[in-house]
Amino acid sequence: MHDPKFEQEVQRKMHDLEFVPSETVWENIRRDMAPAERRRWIAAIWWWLVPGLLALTAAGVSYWRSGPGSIRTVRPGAAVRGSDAAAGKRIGKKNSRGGNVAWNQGGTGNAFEEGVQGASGNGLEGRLQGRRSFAERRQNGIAAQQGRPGKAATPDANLRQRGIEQTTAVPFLTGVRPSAPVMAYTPGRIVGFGSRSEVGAPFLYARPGNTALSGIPRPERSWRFGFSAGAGSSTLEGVQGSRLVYGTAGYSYYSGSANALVPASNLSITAGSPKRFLADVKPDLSYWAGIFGEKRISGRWSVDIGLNLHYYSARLETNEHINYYAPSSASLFQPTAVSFAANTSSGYANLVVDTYLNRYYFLEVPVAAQWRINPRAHLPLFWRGGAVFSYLMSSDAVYYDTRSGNYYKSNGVARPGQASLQTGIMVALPIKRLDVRAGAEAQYAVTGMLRTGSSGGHLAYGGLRLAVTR
Amino acid sequence: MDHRQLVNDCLHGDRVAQRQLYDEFAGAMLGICYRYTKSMADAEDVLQEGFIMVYRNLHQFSFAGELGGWIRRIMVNTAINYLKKNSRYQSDLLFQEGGLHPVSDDDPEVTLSTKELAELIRQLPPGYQTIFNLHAIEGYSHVEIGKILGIKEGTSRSQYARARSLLITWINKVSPANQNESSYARPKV
Repeated sequence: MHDPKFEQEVQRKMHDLEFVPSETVWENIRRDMAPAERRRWIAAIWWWLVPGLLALTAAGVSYWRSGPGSIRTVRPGAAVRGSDAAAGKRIGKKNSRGGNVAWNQGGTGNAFEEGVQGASGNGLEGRLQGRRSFAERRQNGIAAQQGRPGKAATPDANLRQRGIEQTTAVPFLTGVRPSAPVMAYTPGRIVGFGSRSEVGAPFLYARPGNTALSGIPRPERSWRFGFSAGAGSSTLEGVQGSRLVYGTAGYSYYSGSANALVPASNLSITAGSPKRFLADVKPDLSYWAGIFGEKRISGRWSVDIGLNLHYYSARLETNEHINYYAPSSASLFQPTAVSFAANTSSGYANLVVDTYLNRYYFLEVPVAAQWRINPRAHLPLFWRGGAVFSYLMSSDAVYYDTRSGNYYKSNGVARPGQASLQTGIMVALPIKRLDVRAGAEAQYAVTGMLRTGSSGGHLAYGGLRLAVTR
Repeated sequence: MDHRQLVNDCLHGDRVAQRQLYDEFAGAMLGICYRYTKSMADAEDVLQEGFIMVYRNLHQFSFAGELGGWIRRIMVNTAINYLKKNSRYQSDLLFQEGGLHPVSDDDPEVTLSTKELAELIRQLPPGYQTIFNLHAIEGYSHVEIGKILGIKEGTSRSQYARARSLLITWINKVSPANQNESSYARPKV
């Protein structure tokens, strides 16, 4: 038995052995990894053009087929009950095809061990013989390196169309067969376009028995799926309601909402005759959750489509009860002389302002693109932008009629299909074995909330987003 | 360097990341290929094919070990297959039993530089060279070498002993090393 000192010394010295390869080596490798980029982009455009046209067509049909609903006036100040919720329809159907799961049956992922099998004669021998030109190598492939038993060559139509030669049948990752995009639609309605992006370790799909590619196949860019959720606040932009102010003439009133002493004369309040003031819609809680699929289309770009349930809410001020009053002779410049007394007249509640919370439940299909801002940084940043097609599943909301000055509830007055624009910034978090992205996003509906007129406002949302894939 | 992110980027077709991976490991891998072959041109051929296999199988890397070690195993396997398939080396890889060279038990101190020692290793007959590389440098056992090369364990042991002895003899003589092409002359059997 030899003293291992010699081997250890040789090992130590050989560990430092390095050379600089000629640039032609990388050029040859790169050439093998660069099939027709242009054909891929053209295929990607066509891949999304058809589903996009279908979605737009469905949205148009949905819009034109929408009919009028009933209107029920609600007296201001009265208790408002929940309206009949419109039954939600499940939107569309998913149609996705994915390839089979990775093929390495029995393999350990150790290329050397697979080579051991080949070296022992159990596997398929390669065809590299002697020194061949690089073109010859492309012709013959490097199938035998894996040393696995091969199957009969099964021509792959997609590969043929791309003009890639097929050589030896090797049962390992070869043909790239992208799955169909996930689409969601609702006949007669629509429809979400949504965006959801996620970062995750890509699943690489391969069909066992595919023919080996000559050279390096383009990395699989299959669909990845995951879960996402978010929370924030929402409101109805461009909407104003009215607020009725109840009080008693002859006194100055302390308005809780204004946080000030308001002379009755300014308010022109008389007994039994409330004063109407304009009231803005205030933001309130919003949250959503759902699933999505993402597909990388280049090194920095990816597209995604998802299905979410999204809850929106907005707060309307409908009435104001002035709880405290002071004698009209009280002067604002002598605050100590002002005394406040609770208004105990019947009908006055302790609430300073009566509000109503409008609630909306949407089924959304977001479609978006995602672009990596910093390709070489360790903490990737992404910009997301896209559109969201939403379908109103149910709502509990009041709407303000400027002509009558009344709030009302109606099942059919809201536009069931909404289209929104969405954008945001996300960062990929360094979490092992999971691909997690978090960030902020904003969404604004380009369609009005009501079927007709502009008093319905536009839904706006802003909040945080979290997306997880494995 | 964050290899996890680098590998993910490579799998997604990021050309910059692929070049980064190549730049980080190509130098050391070429050194490995150089030890197994008889010329720098052959070594670069092996390097090229090895990295093609790396990119092709990168999705199999599960980060259970070091990325460099995984690439190294692929490169060694590629080198051995290259030797088997290359007609220039095939006849020298017969691993025939026989006393081609005397066996020595000396354990000299290796005072040569890295490249001088590498040149001496490359001077060995291809069969000796391969077995010496696999056992002394890569650390494979003779059982594993037997499976890799398709020979018996005893053949591997005897071949290695002779390779070792021959190398030690040369080290003791401080044989001059060629800078590029090997000046190895096939021994007459």
